[in-house]
Amino acid sequence: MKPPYLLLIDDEAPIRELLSRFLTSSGYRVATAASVHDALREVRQKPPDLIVSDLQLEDGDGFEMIKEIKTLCPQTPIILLTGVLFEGDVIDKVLADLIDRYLEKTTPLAQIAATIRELLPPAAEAEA
Amino acid sequence: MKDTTLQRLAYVFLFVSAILISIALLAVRNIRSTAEASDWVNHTHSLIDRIDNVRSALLRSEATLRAYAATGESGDLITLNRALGDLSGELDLALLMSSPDTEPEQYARLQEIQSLSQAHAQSTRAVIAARQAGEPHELRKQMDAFTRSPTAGTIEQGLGFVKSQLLKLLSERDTALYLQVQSTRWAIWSGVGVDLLLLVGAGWLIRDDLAHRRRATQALEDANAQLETKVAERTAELLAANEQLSLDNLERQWANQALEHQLHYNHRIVECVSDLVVVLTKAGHITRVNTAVLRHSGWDSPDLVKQPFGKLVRLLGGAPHDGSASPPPADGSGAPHGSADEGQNKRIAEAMKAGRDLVDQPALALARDGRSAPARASLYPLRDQNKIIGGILTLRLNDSPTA
Repeated sequence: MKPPYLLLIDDEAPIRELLSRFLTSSGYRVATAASVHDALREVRQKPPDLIVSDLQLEDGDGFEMIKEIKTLCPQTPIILLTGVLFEGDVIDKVLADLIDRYLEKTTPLAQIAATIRELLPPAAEAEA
Repeated sequence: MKDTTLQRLAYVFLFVSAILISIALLAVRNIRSTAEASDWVNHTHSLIDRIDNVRSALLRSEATLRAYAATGESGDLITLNRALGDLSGELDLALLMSSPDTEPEQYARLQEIQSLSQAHAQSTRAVIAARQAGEPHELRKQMDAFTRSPTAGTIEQGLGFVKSQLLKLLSERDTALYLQVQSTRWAIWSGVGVDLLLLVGAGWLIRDDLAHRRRATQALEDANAQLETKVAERTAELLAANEQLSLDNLERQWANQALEHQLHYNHRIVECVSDLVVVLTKAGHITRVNTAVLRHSGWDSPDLVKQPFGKLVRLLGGAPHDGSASPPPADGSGAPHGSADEGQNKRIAEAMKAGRDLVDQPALALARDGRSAPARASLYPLRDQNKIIGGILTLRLNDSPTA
């Protein structure tokens, strides 16, 4: 049984690298994508167990990308990890249909990991 | 094995060896002594036999002499001569066997008996001669002399004495031999007993030492196991600490990176705003401006930081968009010229102190080259946990600048 497979989407290399290192050391298999194009290709090739995505990407809009991912793999939980600060009611009313969780970029890694554990299916999490 | 145990065992085995050697020497000495005693006993028994033979020959000679004297038969004479020969021969042998050194008393007695036997032989020969002469009177006389003579009795007494002495010696020797055997047996059994005790002691020492070694080995194994457990625990602690340190380090890097990203993002937002944005301290000094301020005023950031906000803005009293206020001084200090303008700018300071918003006020945006542009000014106090720490002053320029 393999550990859960996560996809990280962020256009900033240091962010991708740090988060990837942390999640790999936590026992997950991690793939990264720096653009909408790369992210959609990864999702088509190998649907992940969970996606952590930024909102503002160089080659496209994060919302549009997430919508397309939802059509490709509707069961995959998506965490929006972004520097864009949303008000609570905006999250509830606008983002709830698209994403499973919203986290600010300054959220500590431990909390990110806890959110991932919370969203992963139990069987997949038990392997991590 | 401990040194002291080895030393003790060496002493024990030396002692056991000494006892065994002593027993062996004692046994050899006793065997030799027993062999000598056996020779002596055989010799003494042989001597006693000789004495018995002498006595027998004496009795035979007396009996055959009486028979010959009565009958004169030659056969009796032959027997008599043979008995006398036996008497002499056996007595010589007894003397040869007896030693003047070891048995002086018996030897002297035998010598005396030999003299008496010679006298006895002469008396006997006198009787024979009288019988052969055929003189009855002389024969009777010699027979009376022979019978009355104490020689035979003395010889017999002497022989009895010697024999009794020899038997006494044999008895003494038997007693001595018995005692020697008993003492030898006692010495051997004592030695064997002591050796057994010593060997038991040596066994106890070895057992004690083995038990001690087992305990020491067990203690060492326990200590090793304890040490290994401690090492494993410490290693696990170090690994956990190292892992935690790595996580902390990663978390710190993440926090820095995320903060940097967030600051950059916020900065970009402010920079992209076309309005003039001026960040003020609570005292009204400029701490930061956006690019729109620099572009409009012609100042650089170092020229503005720590300067009063009046260098960039002048509120117009109650008449928005009229553009009638006097222009700023040519030196660029931004200080208002008239007391009315100073009073207007005081409104900003007062609003800051009071924590009030000042929204959409008519003002002039001042430039380095003396130009001023009509604008709409707003002030928003910056709060941090209900405490006013500064303010944000924004200027939205009107369409036409004022020369």
